[in-house]
Amino acid sequence: MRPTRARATTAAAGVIAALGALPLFLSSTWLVVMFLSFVWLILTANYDVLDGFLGHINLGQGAFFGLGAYVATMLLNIPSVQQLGALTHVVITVSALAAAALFAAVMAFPLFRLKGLYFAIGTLILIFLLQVLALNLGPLTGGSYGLYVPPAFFMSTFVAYYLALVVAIVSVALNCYLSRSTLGLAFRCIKEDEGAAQAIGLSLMKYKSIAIVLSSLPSAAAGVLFALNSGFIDPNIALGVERSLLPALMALMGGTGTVLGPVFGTAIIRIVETVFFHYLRLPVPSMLFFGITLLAVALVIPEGLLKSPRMRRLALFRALAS
Amino acid sequence: MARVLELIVSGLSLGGIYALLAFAMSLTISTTRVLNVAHGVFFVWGGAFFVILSQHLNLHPALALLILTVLFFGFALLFEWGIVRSLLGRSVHLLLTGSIMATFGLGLSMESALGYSWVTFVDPYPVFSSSLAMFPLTLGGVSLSGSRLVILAFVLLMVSGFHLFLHKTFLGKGARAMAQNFDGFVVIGLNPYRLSMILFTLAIVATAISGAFYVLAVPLNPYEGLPLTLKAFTVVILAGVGNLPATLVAGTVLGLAEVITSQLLGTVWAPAVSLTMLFLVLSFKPTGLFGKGVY
Amino acid sequence: MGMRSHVLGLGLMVVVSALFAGSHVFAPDARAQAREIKIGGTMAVTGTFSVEWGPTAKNFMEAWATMMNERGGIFVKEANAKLPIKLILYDDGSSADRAVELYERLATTDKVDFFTGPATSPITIKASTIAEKYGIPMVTAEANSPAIFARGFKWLVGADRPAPQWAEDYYAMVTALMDAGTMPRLKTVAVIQENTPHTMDVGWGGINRANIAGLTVVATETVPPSATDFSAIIGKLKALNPDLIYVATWAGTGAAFAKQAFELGLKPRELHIPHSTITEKYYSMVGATIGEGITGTTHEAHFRKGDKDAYFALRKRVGLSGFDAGWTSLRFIALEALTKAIERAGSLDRARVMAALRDLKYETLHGQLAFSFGAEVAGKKVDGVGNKVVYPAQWQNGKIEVIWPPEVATAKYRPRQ
Repeated sequence: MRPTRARATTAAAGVIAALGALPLFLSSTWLVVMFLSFVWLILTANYDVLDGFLGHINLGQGAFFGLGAYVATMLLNIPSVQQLGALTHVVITVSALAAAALFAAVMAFPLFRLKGLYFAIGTLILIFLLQVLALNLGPLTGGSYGLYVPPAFFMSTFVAYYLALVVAIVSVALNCYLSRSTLGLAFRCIKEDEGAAQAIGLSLMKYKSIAIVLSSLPSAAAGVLFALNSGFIDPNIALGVERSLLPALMALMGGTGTVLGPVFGTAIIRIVETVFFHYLRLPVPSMLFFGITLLAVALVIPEGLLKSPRMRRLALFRALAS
Repeated sequence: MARVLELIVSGLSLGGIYALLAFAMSLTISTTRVLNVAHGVFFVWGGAFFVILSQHLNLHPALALLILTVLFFGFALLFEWGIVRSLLGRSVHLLLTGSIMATFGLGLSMESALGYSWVTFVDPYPVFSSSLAMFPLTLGGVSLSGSRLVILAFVLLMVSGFHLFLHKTFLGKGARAMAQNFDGFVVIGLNPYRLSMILFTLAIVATAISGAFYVLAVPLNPYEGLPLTLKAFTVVILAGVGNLPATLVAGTVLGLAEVITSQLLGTVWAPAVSLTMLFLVLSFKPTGLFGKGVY
Repeated sequence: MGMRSHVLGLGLMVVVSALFAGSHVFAPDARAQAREIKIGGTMAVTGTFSVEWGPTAKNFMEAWATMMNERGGIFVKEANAKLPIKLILYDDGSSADRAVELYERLATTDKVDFFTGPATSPITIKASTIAEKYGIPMVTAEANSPAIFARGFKWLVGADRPAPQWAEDYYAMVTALMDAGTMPRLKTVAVIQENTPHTMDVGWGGINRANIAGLTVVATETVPPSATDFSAIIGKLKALNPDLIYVATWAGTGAAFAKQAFELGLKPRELHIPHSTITEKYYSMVGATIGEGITGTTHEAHFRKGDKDAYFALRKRVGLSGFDAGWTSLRFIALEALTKAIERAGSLDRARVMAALRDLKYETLHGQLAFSFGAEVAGKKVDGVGNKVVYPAQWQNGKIEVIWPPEVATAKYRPRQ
């Protein structure tokens, strides 16, 4: 029996409440692990807006994250910003989001002329470019030495956890909204057949721009939270290519185009990673087993967890995928 | 004037290196639709094994290359059987996404395996570099890097070799047919799986041998696989996926751009300019310099 | 066909699970163990930074702990006994994120008493932040970027001399050798630096300390990390013809530069690549023609003081010979300093051990180790930096020889061709 929307909402509320209560029981290690997992979830869910809904593989999702982190940190190092008191956080967050959105909007024009693998490379180039800029513009960005967040503005992991949870919920909710709204329908029409979509009057550029700007905002917010909690960023930490590639991998693992796919994909990889690096004590490196496990999982569920045929046999998964 | 010539020659030889990286990947993506994220890792493994064979075991370089070919032939069969065939069986569309995930995990494990084994069994510093083909060369007042010329020569050999294969042999023509029209290929009764297997094996062996040549000029370490894959990917896209001779041209264009930028703005800006240039090319020619050529 | 991938995938998972189950996953039982001294940290065993550190670093530290326990442990006056050491090391995979998770784990779950330092500046910065948060004394080994020590932290010290100061010893040597006539008179220097924190620090010294030897800096070139093509720089330098080229890069990049410079005909009178003598491998990477005569700096020497026998025995135990992995001396000294501080404090109380560390002065491999506070290095005020020096060295006849200072030198400087 297909669950009604009410049941789905109740289930979701239950999960969120559980996550909300967790920090009271978790050691600070697990707080950090969960906080970082939420950051990855945000990136993955945002990635899926462009991939699952629009059919574009975005290998530069980390660019929004990095821009958010850098803009926030750079501003925090300006004395006049530091002295704004309660307004400081507002200013840096708004600036970070604005910078990411602006970047997304501007890049949309050259990027969306490309398709498929070519689009993927275009986005990859962007993240590389940003990283080179961060490395070379020393006086502005700290160069290879990185940038510090003034200790007065450190955000404790406890607070960061909750804020990241909120942004993560927003990201997943965004995907949920897209899967049920006309906007999302427009996206999927474009994904299916661009020619036909244009024929029925959809402006390709308008919708694609909306998609990329939407997907940039929560990621930039995640970047701000990360910077505030971390206290230090450098071109590798904030703009490393892993932050662009792993979201794609996580989305694929969970099943692109499904609302909960990113959640499962992020969970799978984060769980495997944590188990292997925190617990496994073999003389041979944990990374080796991490890689083998990813390979094994990929062979068993190459379509992604929620779209895999054997999983679909379980009604539960069918429900989750819808 | 000699300086300008030297710069141009440097750019060309750097281009040879980029083409070396990208060639086998272009071949693989266009024919088998497998996106091998671990391409760079195979490349590094090729370089590593070559150094072991030619330096640590003191074998003649030609013999080392031969053994390398055999080793990676076997490895390619394993890879093909274990991963590609498994995914191919499900659906062709799945091949792309499944191969991305699978090769990502494979790449991670392979690079850790190499890093760990090297330090445990070979020597404490896992960097592979060969000084075999290093000689200074001066032609008409212009200095040339001997090792890079060797690489360029090999790349030209490889490109022409494959060109002949693709245009003069039955298998090669089949490969082009398959790339042009997969369904038509199947309809006329040919077996795409076997041909894919052959092409993929060739590509992996070519990748490993390319890695062996690469370390003549540039040192490698086990964890450079992913950055190299990404670099190769950019060259492939710049050329236009599947256009093999174009990878040489694309590599050269990139190499020249980087050398000229280094000269005018400083080496630290070279990556930025080549990236920007690539982006601009894509903006005006969305399918690469030479489009989706079928060889 | 679909079945094949399932079988393969599931098979792999079974194998991994079996290995996993067979490993020491479950925490060792907390039966009445005599109080142990828990020291913890992460290390780049895999990932980009593991090239310089890797499994060797982890093995070396674990061998140290084994050796200490074979001696019975560390004497703690409060317990009136020698207490054994439990060393807990994780692989951070060269990821700062993971290092943060693991250092938190070490602090809260494993509840270690003291921290060891990880590899590289960015990860050390993050780890020391956690040390500061929990008030856990941390002794780093190789981390020597002034930025790390300029944050006013109270729970951090480092054994290594700050990297910007490495050039001081080298240029002092150059002056002495030029005055003695052993080295030809040099007038100009060009500095090449790789854009990573450590190598930029080394480059800073190369540029700003050249006046010690009376040299003029004619060119400063920064290259991207892991750069492979130096043709433009080589062209420029051939025109400028500096007497000395100071190459502040990691060993691999330095090898790429040396090879290309040779091929393109750049032949300075002196080629100084600090990281070229940090591994025995460098010579085979570039070949004899280039390798002979290159000078560099090394952490390692034929130490004559301190617990040198134990040190060399440890190196042998993990299969290190010659000058390979020279940073082991730093790791050894860092752990030794911690040991001495615990002994002097007479207790495992973190604050008392930290105080003992701050006042520590004792004789070790290179001489007297002491941490200085409030000094200025490269324009920053630093606290807790150590004084383990590096030694100018040179490749001679395919071997690394320390050439300065005369007290530890194993050979004399030889001019290149």
